[in-house]
Amino acid sequence: MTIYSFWIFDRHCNCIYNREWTQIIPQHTTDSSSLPSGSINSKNSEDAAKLLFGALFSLRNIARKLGDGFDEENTLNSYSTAKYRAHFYESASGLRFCILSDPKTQHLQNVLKDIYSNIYVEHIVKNPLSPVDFKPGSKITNPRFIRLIDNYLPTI
Amino acid sequence: MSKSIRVASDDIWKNRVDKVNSELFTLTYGSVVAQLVRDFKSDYNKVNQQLEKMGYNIGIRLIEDFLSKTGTGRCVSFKETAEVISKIGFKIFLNITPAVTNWSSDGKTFSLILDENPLAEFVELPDDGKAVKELWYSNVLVGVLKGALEMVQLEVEAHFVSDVLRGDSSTELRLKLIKILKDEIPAGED
Repeated sequence: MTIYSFWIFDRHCNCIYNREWTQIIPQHTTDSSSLPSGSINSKNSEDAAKLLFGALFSLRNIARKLGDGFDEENTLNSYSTAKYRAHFYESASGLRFCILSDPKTQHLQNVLKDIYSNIYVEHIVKNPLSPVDFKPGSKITNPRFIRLIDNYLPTI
Repeated sequence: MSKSIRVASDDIWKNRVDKVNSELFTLTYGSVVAQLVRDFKSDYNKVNQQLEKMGYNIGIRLIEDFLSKTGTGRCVSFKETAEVISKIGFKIFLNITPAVTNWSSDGKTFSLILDENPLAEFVELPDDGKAVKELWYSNVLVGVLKGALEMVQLEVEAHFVSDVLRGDSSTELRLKLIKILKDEIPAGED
């Protein structure tokens, strides 16, 4: 299983966190200091982020309109192409989390929820010095958050 | 459904939330209010406003904690929102379950009756003739509800209508749905 990148979009549709890995994550890392290289927060305002957001946003709206039952809302969990799969989780407050992985990877919903409740809420929301409502152009730069994400994602 | 809500929130309260001694919380809140009263030289309307503002800032963070713990999605009706607030929200954060009553006929306004109010334990309002008429001691709750609901796209108006601290027979918090806000959409390329 390979993870290519990880994205968080806030309720104002801006990309507030972006992590991209350039090399394949080793399956069983024994030495946690040798984290895979890549870039952090380098593509937040680039077209790639906007296009990815647009794709997820439109598909989510389509999913909602096409499959809405009376009791429960239809949600977008993931979509896949020949080359990658995008996993998507949206909180009721409008935060959107996305992981791009190789197409063979199944179900990362729990992972995304886990990141939301154990990393985002614990280290961004409960950190009084960090904003919760991000201004346009601002992003998550909290080193602890970045470290936790980097430690967590390679272990799944 | 309302039964399953109750079971779920009991479970969250028992197993999934970190707790502190409620007296510690009550007294901390008490010192905040006392300090505000001093800072604003007993101008209780300003104290109310300030408490609401503080509550708002708490609410916009608290909602994320709430959503991540409960995993609830958007409510389909304001009635459901009311249930979720009283049976899950109040339960997991304050371990109380206020009664939801006094629905207006259009279904947009309801009251929360707080039989017990952990914020107001050990409290007696000062006997200066003004506090009893003007101060809403637990006004922070108003702000919390407003802030939290705004983050899930519900604009509400909230205020206390009675408080046992003022000698009323019950503590009643009234919530009115103003409108459902639209989700923001990405800016176009124009």
